[in-house]
Amino acid sequence: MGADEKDLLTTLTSQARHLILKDDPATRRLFPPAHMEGGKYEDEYREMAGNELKISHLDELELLESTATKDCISREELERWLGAVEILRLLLGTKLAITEDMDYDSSNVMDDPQMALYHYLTWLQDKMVTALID
Amino acid sequence: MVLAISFPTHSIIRSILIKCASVVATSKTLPREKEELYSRASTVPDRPWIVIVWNDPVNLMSYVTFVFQKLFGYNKEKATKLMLDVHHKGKAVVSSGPRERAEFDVFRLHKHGLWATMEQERN
Repeated sequence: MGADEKDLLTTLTSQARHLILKDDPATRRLFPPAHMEGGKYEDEYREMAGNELKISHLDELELLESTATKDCISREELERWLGAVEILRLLLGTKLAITEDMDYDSSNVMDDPQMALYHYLTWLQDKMVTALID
Repeated sequence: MVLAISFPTHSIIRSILIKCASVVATSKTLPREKEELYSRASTVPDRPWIVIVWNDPVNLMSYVTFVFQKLFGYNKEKATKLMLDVHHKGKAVVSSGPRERAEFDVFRLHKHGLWATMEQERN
């Protein structure tokens, strides 16, 4: 991974952490409901797991941010990098209103910097999964 | 004559009244019994909870398969089948058990960015 890529990841993870810390509505996809119908069980889940989930997301991003410049990372670190990239993709994908039947070959993908970034993160995440499986 | 027939009539009416009274008494107790039965049914601990993962346009197929293997220890075949169910059918049941267990699984799936919910299994 080049220095540019590491810089990019550091910047993105820092921005994502700030969004989560201020409970920005853009982070809602990171905190899905556990009960479709809401109600008391959902309230109980939120109370029990909400803060822990937030801390978990922040931890993943922080680890990538603090280890991005390392030349070599452990398998455990790679798994957590994967988690951080997942968070970045969910945030960016929600912002770009990504749909499953989007035409990825269309020329506007590369014309839009955020869309290009999303596809870079998709490529990177797939590489990481491949490395962990092999 | 009134008096002559008054006794048996009175007796029949009395027995009818007693029956009515017992019906009234029964109908008074039934809702309570039903209420108890219903309240017991709504918190039946035996009915397991299922954990459902829903399709979403962001998550990668390879990533979802990896998460199923990592969290539930499923082999590649089972994890891939569940991932394909999510992809093609829109959702898949990935685990089941008592409420606490299901909550734990939902939480772990949320930590990994997957869109998971839980519900009590229907009879």
